[in-house]
Amino acid sequence: MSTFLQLAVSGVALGSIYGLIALGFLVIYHATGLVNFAQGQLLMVGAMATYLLLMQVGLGYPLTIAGVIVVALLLALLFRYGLHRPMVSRGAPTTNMVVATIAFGLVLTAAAELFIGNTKYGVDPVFPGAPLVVGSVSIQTQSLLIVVVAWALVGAIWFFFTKTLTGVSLRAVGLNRTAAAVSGVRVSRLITIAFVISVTVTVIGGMLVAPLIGAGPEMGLAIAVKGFAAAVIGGMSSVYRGMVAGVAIGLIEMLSSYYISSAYAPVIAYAILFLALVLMPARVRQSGAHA
Amino acid sequence: MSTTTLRTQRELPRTRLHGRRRPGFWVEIAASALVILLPSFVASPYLMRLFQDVAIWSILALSLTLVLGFTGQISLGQAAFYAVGAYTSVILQTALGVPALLAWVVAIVLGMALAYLISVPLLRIHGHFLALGTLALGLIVETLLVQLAPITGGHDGIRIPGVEYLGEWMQLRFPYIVLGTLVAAYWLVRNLTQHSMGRAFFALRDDPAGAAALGIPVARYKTLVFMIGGGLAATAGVLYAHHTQVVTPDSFGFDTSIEVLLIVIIGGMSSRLGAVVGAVVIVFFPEWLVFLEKAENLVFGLVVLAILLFLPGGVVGGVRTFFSGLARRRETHHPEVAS
Repeated sequence: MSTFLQLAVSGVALGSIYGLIALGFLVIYHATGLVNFAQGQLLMVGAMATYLLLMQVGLGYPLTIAGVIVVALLLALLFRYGLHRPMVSRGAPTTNMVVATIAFGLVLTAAAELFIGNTKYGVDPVFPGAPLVVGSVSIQTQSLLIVVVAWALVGAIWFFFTKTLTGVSLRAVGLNRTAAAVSGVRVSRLITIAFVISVTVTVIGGMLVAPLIGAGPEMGLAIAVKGFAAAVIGGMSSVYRGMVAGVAIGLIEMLSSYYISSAYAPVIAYAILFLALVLMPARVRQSGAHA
Repeated sequence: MSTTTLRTQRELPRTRLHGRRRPGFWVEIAASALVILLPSFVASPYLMRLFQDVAIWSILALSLTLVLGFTGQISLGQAAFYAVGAYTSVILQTALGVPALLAWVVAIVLGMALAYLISVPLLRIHGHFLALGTLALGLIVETLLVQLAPITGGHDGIRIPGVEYLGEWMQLRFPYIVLGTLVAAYWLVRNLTQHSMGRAFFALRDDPAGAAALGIPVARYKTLVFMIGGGLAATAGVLYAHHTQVVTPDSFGFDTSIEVLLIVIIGGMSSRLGAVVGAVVIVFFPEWLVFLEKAENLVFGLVVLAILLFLPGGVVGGVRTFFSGLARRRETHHPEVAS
């Protein structure tokens, strides 16, 4: 039983990261209809930036957090103005947009490999010290932090999309861009805001997960695939459903790698994504067509 | 979105002279003959090796061009079929003692069979989601190659020494087989796309609903394209296994699927020649630009982004636009340029 609980705790922490990826993914998807395949690499940038600022420069966490958020802003603006907007204004078809996000991710990975090095680096946790012990289960403070921050972010994003004018306008952009523009919504600026939110959330995910699994240029894909799966299982719609699905995937991954086979655990995660895609209701699939 | 429509139309292979022999036809014949005969006048084994690399990448890229460029189905899992081709052929020959030619046929058929099986669920999803689905497929196959160690040899892979399995006669002539297969694959894709069925593929890409309304059997043709693409990728895998004489999971992973994608984008997504041009670029440039060394991936990524932004038709599309631009100089101003 205690093994089970122990695994469940790790699963929920890891799953919250998947949920954050799903969240970042859905924000861009809803604003623009674009599926961003670079999401995992953005998370990688967050983790690597944390490693550089914290371990190499030695800034300490408060400054590192500020620095990483600056990196996220710059990255979001680069992504939006250097790649996304020029491609949209050239009328690029879906295929090209997908490939562009893949190539963007590839560039990020290659740059990290070239300038920092292709190994896995350890990153100190935010709160050093012994793990909390509850009954027979020991919980790492970082895991706890991940869950708290991830859910706080989901809450904040939910608040933004439902209670603020900007957030509601952003949803309007996603539903019908032309009608939103006619109603006086500044579409282009809102899409930029969506990019900033998405990239920042993802990069924070990378910062949170780095102490748990290390930071390395190749870390993105495996996490991103589970994030995509979470978004799809959550119905590609609400942010909290994606988060719940992410936690479920984290749990399944942890439990299956212990009770079934650690070698086949990734296959199970990929199969979940495949099945979720194939079995998702037509309503959800159609929503992808408007892009 | 009228701009989108115009753009896709411009990227279409030119079809004006369909039915008549274009002068290009004889150029293609001559070039094909030249490619097949390449091993007889290239003396350097190093250069010949690179040409075979190019040929294998080209066949793989042709499979993706057919699926992605011509039919608009995004596949991020092309390496899965490549792996099935290579591993089936190698396992049949090394573990079961099946003669090479039979093993090759079985491997290619199996590649097509996997494509058929996988197309049934994949027909339900489109666009971005199809890309995700094929990505998952590629990752599943990649993981299985590592984990099914008793069959696949795990990370160490399987060695298949050339002379032992092909015989000396065939081993010596293997370059001809590789380049000959490339020419055959090229003509297969060429004739397919010039056939009415190929026109139907373009219609599937540009307007699936319209294609269905015109009576094109959308599901059947998509399945067919996946199968031909899977078969071509498996063929490339078969050749790759004998070319390198060893198969390991590293050569069939997500990175390979992405590399094929880069080849197709660099060469030109909707051009069969683009597959070959892209393969030449991706094989020869690292050899010439040795100083790039570790920055290779970064440079290729940036080149691909630049091509997507400024030259969506790839190298071949760019050259084509340049020449047709010259030809149209004196004609009236083109409306699509103005828009």
